[in-house]
Parts: sequence; C-alpha cells; structure tokens
Amino acid sequence: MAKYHGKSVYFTVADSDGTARKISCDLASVSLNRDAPTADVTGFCGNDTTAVIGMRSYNIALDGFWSDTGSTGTYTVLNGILGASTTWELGPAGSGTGMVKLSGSGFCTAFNTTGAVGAALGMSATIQGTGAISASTY
Amino acid sequence: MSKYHGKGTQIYWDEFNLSGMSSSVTINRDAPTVDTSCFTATDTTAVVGMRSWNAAVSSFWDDTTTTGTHAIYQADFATADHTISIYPSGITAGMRGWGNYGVIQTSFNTTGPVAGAVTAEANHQGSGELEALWCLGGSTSTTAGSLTLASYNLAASLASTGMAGYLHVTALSGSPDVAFVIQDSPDDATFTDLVTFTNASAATSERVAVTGSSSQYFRVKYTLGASTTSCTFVVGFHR
Repeated sequence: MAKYHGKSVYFTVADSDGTARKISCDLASVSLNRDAPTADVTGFCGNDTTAVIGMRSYNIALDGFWSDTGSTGTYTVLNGILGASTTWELGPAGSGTGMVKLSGSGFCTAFNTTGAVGAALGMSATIQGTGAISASTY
Repeated sequence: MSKYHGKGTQIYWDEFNLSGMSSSVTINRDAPTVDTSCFTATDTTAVVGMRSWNAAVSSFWDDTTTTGTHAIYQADFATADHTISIYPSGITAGMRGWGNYGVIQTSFNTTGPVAGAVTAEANHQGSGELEALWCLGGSTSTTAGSLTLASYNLAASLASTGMAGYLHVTALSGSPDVAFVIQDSPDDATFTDLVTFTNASAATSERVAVTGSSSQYFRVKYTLGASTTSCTFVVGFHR
C-alpha cells in the first residue's frame, strides 16, 4: 500500500438502465470533492471565531474525451442519465484485489461537450452525490 | 533565523505525521475589518473584528492501512476536535510553528489525473486561536529510562501568561506508558516540570494548557518504559 500514479484510476457509473458502465478509459481526470461546511457559533467576548460541524456533501467532476462508443462511451452513458439518479464506483488505485473502493449514489447534473479545432472532442460531467459514500475494497 | 526551503515542512495531524505524504500546506489567516468611515471624513477608518484561520493540505492519495491519507481522511472527514501542529521550517528546537486543538476537517478531495499521481486535498477549519509555537524538538528513541532533548533559550522569562504544550506521538511500539514533560529553567542548569502530558501508551496527540510564570530555557524530558522498543514524537510549546 502506497502512493499511486493516476493512470490506474477505475470509475464506473450506472447508465439509464441501471447497468454499471466502466467509462474510465475515456476519462483523463476524476475528482471526488467532499465537503463538510461548518456553522459559525462565535459569540461576544472572544478574539477568535469558533465553529461547529454541519452536514457532509460531495460531487464528482469528470473530465475526458467525448465518445459515442456502443453502450459504454461517455456520451452514451452520461447523456442518458443527465438529470437522473445513478450510482457510481471509484477505485483511485484501480480495481485490483484489495484496492480501495468508494461508491455511492447521485444525480448527473451536468454533461458538457467541448469541441476545439485543434484538440480532441472533449467532455466534462458532474455527479452530485446524495447520501453517504461507502468505503470498502475490491 | 532566516529564510527556508519548503522541503523541511512538518505537518502533524493527531497521531499522524502527514509530511511524508504531502507536498504543500497553506495556512490562511484572516482578521477582517469593519468600515467605520463617517461623513465629512477624508480617509476611511476601520476597526478589527475576529480572527479566523484554515489550513489547506495537498497530499498524495495513499492507501497505507491506518496511516495513509485515505485511511486518515476517510476516518476524520467531517469530524471535530483534532490537534494539528505545523512547523514550516522543520522540527529542530526553536523552529516556529502553529498549533490548534479544535480543528474540523471540512473537505477531502481525491483526484486522479491520467498523467499524474492520485492526490488527496484536505481543508482543515480552525476553531479557536491558532497558537504560535516554538518547536522543542522531536526524536525517535529506543533507549529506556529518562532522557532530555537539548534545551532551547527563549531569551526571556514571562511573569504570568497562558501556556500550552503540544505533543504528537506518531509511533510507539513495545512496552506502554511513555512519560513526556516540558521543563523550564532560569539558568539552563536546574529544570523544573512546567507542562506534564498524559502518559502515552500508543500513538496519540495532546494539548495541555497551563498558567503561571515561565523561565527562559525550555526542554523536553521523556521517560521510556524498560522494555519499550521505539517511540517517535515531536513537542511544541506556546506562551
């Protein structure tokens, strides 16, 4: 167990039929962003602010290449679930036996296609999480 | 004291040393003001409000059991009352740093780029004062009995002030109950106990506050049990 190169990242998302689709081969970056904002509870009589913890939330930002391949391309999968609920699974170090597996449910809230004359057709997408993230191993 | 390369930075989070997995730390401190400018004035005026701070730590995602960034942040995300000590110029006695014992981890971002390392970004929201520290040193000891680190001269005594000691024990194997004490002395010869930490029986962290006067020389005294095999720690002092 150690640090890892990003080339082995494993990511799946359920398509509109609920089937988990591995789309990581069409992605160049996956960011799982987790937040736990605090509420300020500072009263009079102090010089420093104090805070209490609130509720956790997360989203997943996907960046990669636009692909209309069969049932597994980024366009095919993500365009089909835009605005719909889905489930996801992330293996930051890959999906080999014993590797960390993170999973959860969410909504695909954005699917952006970018075409530039001098570059590959690109895509980005956001999955807004709902509920807790499960952590286990493959 | 002088300028420093960033490679010597040490980051302690509870009983963990994040330094070997991290590549950047930024401590953001704010003291926003309220504008009190009135009519007829030529220049704006302001009064200072309340201070706040947070620390952003950039690390490599590491799935080492218990001590990797994944295990640490997965367990500590959205929880409060963590103890942090950050020493930008290292942990040699006399190096400056900051500490706090009410920290809340408010974000944990994992990013896997295809052309780079998998990273873990965390934000630590402070609650209460970010205390300025003098590092009193750190060590990995395997010697049984009472030992002391070299003393450090703060150059002046203080008649009465709030003080606190910060202890991070990042590894402890073998027989339990290692005792840690910060001692002070007016002459660098005769030392008395000033801050006594709870005996450590495993990797742990603690902030202990005391009040009263303090001398100008400070050192760490630690006592390992007879069969203790190894203990790694760092101690900081605030006054």
